[in-house]
Amino acid sequence: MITRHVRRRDLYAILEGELDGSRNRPVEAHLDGCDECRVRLAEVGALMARLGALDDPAGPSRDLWPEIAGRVGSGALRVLPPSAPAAERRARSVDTTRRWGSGHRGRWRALAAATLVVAGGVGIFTTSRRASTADQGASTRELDVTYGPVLARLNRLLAERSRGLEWDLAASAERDLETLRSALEDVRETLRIDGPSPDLLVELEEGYRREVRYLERLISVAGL
Amino acid sequence: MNAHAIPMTPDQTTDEEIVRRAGDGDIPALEVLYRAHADDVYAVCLRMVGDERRAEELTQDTWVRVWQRLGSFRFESSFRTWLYRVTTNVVLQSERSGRRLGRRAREAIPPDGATPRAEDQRVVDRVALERAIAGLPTRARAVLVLHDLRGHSHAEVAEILAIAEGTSRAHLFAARERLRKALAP
Repeated sequence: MITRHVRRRDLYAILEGELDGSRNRPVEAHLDGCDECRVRLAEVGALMARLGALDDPAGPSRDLWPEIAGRVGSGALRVLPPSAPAAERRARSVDTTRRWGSGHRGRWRALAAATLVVAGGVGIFTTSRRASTADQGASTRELDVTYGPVLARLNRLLAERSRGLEWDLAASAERDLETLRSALEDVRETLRIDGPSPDLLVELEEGYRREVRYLERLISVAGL
Repeated sequence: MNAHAIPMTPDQTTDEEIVRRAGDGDIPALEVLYRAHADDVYAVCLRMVGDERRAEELTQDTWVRVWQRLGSFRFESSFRTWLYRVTTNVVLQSERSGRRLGRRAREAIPPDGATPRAEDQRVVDRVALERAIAGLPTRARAVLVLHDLRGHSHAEVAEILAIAEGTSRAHLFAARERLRKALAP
């Protein structure tokens, strides 16, 4: 029987049946003899029961389709599939190129270059290949100081070369960057609220590195 | 427009065909997808923002976003996973742009000095839980909603939110602990 109290993380795992037999048995044995851990298990169980009892909400109070159909039918800008007629693609390119420039290079050339860059692992900066500093106990602030200037430089370079990107590749890249930055910001928010956590610090650094790698590839494509 | 011309079955091939047609700009095909998945999208939005009207707005925004981006969907994940990703991104982006309402989630419960009747207690408990969920950090809330309320595995949550599985687990543990403390008597 284990003598230390059961971690709350393991209490959740017990309730979800995620502890395998070899880990489960000593924990169960401890619980049999520890009133404090049984109380904590009951607290965790009560929360899980409340979450489980939360009804699935019914659907929307009204049919939303007519309004959605109105919006999409009125010409909401779409990212077009490669098979879309060229004229339609050109017509649609006006709005999406505001931030990235129009670009006249061949889409296939850009995509082929992207593939080459990914396959070859080419990188302009070496930061993305460095060993993880989060693993060595770096703080959020230290990671900001390490990666902030690199990202700023890459973003400046991208802004200078953005005219070399075909509009649909640029639109797709904008979305990807939005997703990467959104994920990064959420890890930072959780760290701010909940305090340092080794898992989250590693994730924060990985998020920075993903953005650096992505920008490097994009700049390589734009510069061709 | 005749949406019913397209058979609505859970069959993978048919589903893929409908997604392709919608991606090519076929609005009736988009309506078929909407009819099949609208309640799921709405449920995620509602659990994330805690306000029915706002959830309906976000559901609309999500389907417009689906329309805009379906052409770039490459079938590398299931349509359903991709749809959840679009939905959570729409909600998270709306919160960043300061449009978060969460009216019901922020309602004072119960009024000072009031002793709720026994049958009201369940409602009070539910609203307290919804309010606590609405107060979670955005990404932790998204993980909790997808895993604990929508039944996705950590692998699926990781794919939907573009995070590592370990991060999903860390967020979920943090979210549950914050809820437990917030709801402690």
